[in-house]
Amino acid sequence: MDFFSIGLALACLSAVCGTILRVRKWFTRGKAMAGSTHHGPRSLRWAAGLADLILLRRTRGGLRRRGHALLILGFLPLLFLHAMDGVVTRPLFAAYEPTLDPWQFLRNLFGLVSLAGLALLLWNRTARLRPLSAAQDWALLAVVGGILVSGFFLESLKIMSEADFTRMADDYFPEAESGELLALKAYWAAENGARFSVFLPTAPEMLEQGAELHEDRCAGCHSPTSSAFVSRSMAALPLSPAMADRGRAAFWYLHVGLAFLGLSLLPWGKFLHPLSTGANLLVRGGSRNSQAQNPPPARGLGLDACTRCGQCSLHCSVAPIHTVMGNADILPMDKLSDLRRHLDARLSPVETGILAEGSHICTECLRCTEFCSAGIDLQDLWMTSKQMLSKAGRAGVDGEIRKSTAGEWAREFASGRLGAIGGTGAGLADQAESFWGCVQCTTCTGVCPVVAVSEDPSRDLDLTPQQIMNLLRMGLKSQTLGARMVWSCATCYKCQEHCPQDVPVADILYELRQLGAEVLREKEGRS
Amino acid sequence: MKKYDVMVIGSGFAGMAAALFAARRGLSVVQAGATGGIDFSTGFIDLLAVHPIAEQKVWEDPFAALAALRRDLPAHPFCRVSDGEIRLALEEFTSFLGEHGLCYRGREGKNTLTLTAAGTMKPTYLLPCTAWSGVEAWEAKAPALLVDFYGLKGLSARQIAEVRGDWPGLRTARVRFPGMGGELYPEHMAWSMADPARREELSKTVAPLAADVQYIGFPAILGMTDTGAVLSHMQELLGKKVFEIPTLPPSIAGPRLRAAFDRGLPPLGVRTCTQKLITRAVCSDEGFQFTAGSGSTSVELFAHSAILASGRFFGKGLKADRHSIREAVFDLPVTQPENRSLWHRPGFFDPRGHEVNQAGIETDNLLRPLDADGQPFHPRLRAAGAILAHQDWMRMKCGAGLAIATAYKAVISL
Amino acid sequence: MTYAYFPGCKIPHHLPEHGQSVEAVCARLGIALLKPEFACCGYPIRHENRDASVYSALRNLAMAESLGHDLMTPCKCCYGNFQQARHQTGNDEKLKSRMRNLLDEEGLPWPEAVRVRHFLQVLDAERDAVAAAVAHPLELKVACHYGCHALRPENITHFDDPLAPTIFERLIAATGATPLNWELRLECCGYPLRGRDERISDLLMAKKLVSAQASGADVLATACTYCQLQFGRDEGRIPAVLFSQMLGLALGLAPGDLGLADAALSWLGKE
Repeated sequence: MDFFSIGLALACLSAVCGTILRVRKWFTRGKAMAGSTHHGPRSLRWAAGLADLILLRRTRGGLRRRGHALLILGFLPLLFLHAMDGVVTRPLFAAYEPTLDPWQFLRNLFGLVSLAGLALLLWNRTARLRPLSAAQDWALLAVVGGILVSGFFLESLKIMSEADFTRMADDYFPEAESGELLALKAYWAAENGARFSVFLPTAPEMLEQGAELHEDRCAGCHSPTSSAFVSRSMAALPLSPAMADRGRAAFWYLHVGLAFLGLSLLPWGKFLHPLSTGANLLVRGGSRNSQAQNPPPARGLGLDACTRCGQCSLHCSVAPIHTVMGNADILPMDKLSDLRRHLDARLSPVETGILAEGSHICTECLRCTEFCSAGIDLQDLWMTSKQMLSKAGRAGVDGEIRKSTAGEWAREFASGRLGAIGGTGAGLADQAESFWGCVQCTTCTGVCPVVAVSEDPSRDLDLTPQQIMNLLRMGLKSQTLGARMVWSCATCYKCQEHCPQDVPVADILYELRQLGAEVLREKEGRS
Repeated sequence: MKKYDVMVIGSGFAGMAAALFAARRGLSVVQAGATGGIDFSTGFIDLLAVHPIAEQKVWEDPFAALAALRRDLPAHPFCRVSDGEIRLALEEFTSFLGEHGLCYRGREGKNTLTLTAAGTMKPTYLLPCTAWSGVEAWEAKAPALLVDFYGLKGLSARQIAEVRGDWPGLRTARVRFPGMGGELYPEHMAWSMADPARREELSKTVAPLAADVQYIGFPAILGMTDTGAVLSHMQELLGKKVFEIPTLPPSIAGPRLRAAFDRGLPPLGVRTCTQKLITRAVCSDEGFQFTAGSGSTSVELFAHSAILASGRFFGKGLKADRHSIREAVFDLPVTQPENRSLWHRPGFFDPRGHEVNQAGIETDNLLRPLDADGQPFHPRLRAAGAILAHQDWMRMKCGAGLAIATAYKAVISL
Repeated sequence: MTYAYFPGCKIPHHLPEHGQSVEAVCARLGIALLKPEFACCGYPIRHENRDASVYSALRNLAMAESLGHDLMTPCKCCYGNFQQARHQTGNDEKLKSRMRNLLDEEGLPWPEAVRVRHFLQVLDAERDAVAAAVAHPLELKVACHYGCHALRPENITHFDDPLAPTIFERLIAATGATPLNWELRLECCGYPLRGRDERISDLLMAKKLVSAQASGADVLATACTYCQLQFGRDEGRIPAVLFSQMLGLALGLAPGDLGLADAALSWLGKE
């Protein structure tokens, strides 16, 4: 067993087992999110989904689209025809040798195309997506880039390598006389970029002899290395033959090692996206709006298909709220990954609170779903996860407040914590000017539609609007914050419009809600 | 900027009346005003019942009282209006209200005593029809049941019965209002009475208690916009005469009146700038340029004439600080006591009242406000209502009537 | 006329027919609509964080300002929040400077000149042209629902008279329909309480529908995404229809272009 076999075996094991676990999660996470009924099986529009996949129709942005196109166009052939040449290319093409054209040329071409694509993607990520990027984003770029770059280095060092020449000569030209060997070496040095530690003749007759010997012994498997146009140009690097040999060995391990690393990491994070995203695009069937109520496995697949392209977060309608409030789970990309973790029961209570806050701030505007390059039905995920979180008792500020009575909140707030949090917003609720006109005429309560539909306002709403104003002007804010009236206010502004004394009743109720939200945030350790 | 014939400043009794009278006379009217004193109205239209206030002499004939008042108080605003004008004004005003679901009645040339939430009998001139059976009941001392509700703070039937020792046939009962519990608010109760099912429920609760009476009195919650229909239905269901008593202020009389005007004035072509106060007024020979409201939502208006019916302190027509009283729109001179210490007498219930209540705007016979030199401030500016000086409407029992009559005079004199 | 068009978050998924009909009507009336990538108006977040709500609103206004056109929205909650944000920054210097800093970071100008218009106001400004363009007058009795957030508080929203508004009735009359007076026309539809207090939301909605029905109207007309979402839940009592759809039909546009399924036209059958 050698490095290659062991490495390949381990990498395959990791890839397969990891992928199985990931796919399993499509089903378990999807089920964990369900709770609402879903439609029966529906027809999948494979053709539209396939078109999305192959033509990258959902990938927006010039850099990203071109980068992906180039990378895919270049890397897939490298994967199948070069990395898997043993099982793909050799059986198909009897005369295959990696050092023969067109393979040698194509390898370099596809490698260069891949690198060009990767460069565009790297540019895109550094120029536009840096704030949204995490370790796995850079890691994937590094691994793929490393494979490509190390591959070029490997090939160029192989070209240069004296030890390789010697090994090949021993295998395929054992009977060479020293003069012939010298001629061959001279030929290889001149034509193919090999580096030798011996002094080589340059006389034309020697080169001619070398060429003849090459034709005889080597050319059957070796096209001129000039067709490996990238690696060959790198072979002009000023390296001593000894360094070239050592480098060749090192880069072989590096190149193969990185490839195995990439393979073993396939089930990790976004490394799987070529598979999961591809599958999701097919299942989505080209739909651009939300199908809602997707079957659980489709939801689970959607949850897993994120490529972390960041488009959802960049175009999110509530991104300005994130700018002010700072909760990363307001933005779709981070919310999605935290939702996954939540479904795996890996979020702490504080983190769950952050996810709940971010979830409830989403306005379901459909834009992230329209922009998602992976075709994830985000709208369905958000609407369902909100319900799921609410049912699990994380219904946002409003839901949290309603878990306790007004009296319980009053005691908690009056315990001194409120002083530290103090006024909020415009501070209307704290300023005497807001209330000094209040004559308790009950007009605000008289016009309030919420009071109107309450059979028993003191039971259902705890306090009526003019009672809240009264408590506030006595400085008893803590008694008001948990009152149902504050939280069931419909914000219709009739109270403020009709008040004969210009008391800003509705604005004050808003301020109390804002204060309640801030208090909860601090209480749950989120501020 | 739109130009109007008349700008009415104020949306209380005087402002609403002025807008009505002006619109009916073919003038283009714009009206600005915010919620003010009218929300505390009982719904009664007083004309004149007490004079002189120091003696607390109550008159049965308001016009006789007016004659005496004009003789004794030549500066009183009623001296600017004739009896004929008063009659026409009240007629036009109440028929408008009648068209919009608020029927009024009274006795020609006579004040009527009517029940209040405190149990006292208050003299007034015109009453909502929904209160009339109460008058009949009291005058006949007929067997009657007064109903109040658990949780409604504005009226206690027992309180009324205790005060009305002169009415032995008066009984009281406290019942639950159907569909509402805890604390009750008259406005919501009144709206809910628009539903016939609610009325039936209420009748079922009350009927067994009213077997041996002829009249049943309720707090004023019998509907908001079609009180006549609600009352008739209740009478039908209970088989008795029914009447309303206004709750302690703020009763729903105010919202009922305001709603009737909100419904009825725009169709007459009145442009309304509700909930806006005049923040700036520039006078010229051509007329008046007003800014209604402030900031980004202010409106510029131009009017040929203007009627200042902005009310007193609660209505924001007069503004007081610790030293003096100012008029809020034109900064007209305000007749007032020499200094603050003279505003109030030491005894709150002093029968002579308090000097500050008689402060206000001086006018000439055409109700044109006077400037510091005693000349009309502007030929086409008029003042009407509670802002006028030399009247104590609360003690004289003349508030609504004064407002309506002076509004009438102001409009016809334009 | 050209406007920066602000549909609001609830149209794309929850009520696409509103956006569809508004755009179709504007196209027919020659009102050009620009569509920059606006963000949420900030109304929902006002319950939790004032700065987030104000910034959300101002940022959209700033975007419209850079385009050089007024902003038009068919949603009354959005309209109201824009006006609120302006008002609050007008009264609070510290808030204003915080907002200015945030806008500077995005390279957006302070929204000075841009005005906010609700769809009804845009139509009202061209009422004669609208009436002239009506091809099939609607013979319907209509209860106009004003809702709250554009109407109140008037000193901030400047939409119409808060106690006696007339803009909606004027426009309904322009389509040929007859607007009716009804008791609760200025009351809240209850949608803001969805997801917070479903019970009260249902009660508010039911009360409005009963009142509209009692007025004898054939339809309840709405001009706000939230309001239509609320009343659209109750199929039983009285059909609730978007004004943009009614106007579209009156202008002679096809029901399909207005997001109306044929089955949803039963209320029209009363012609």
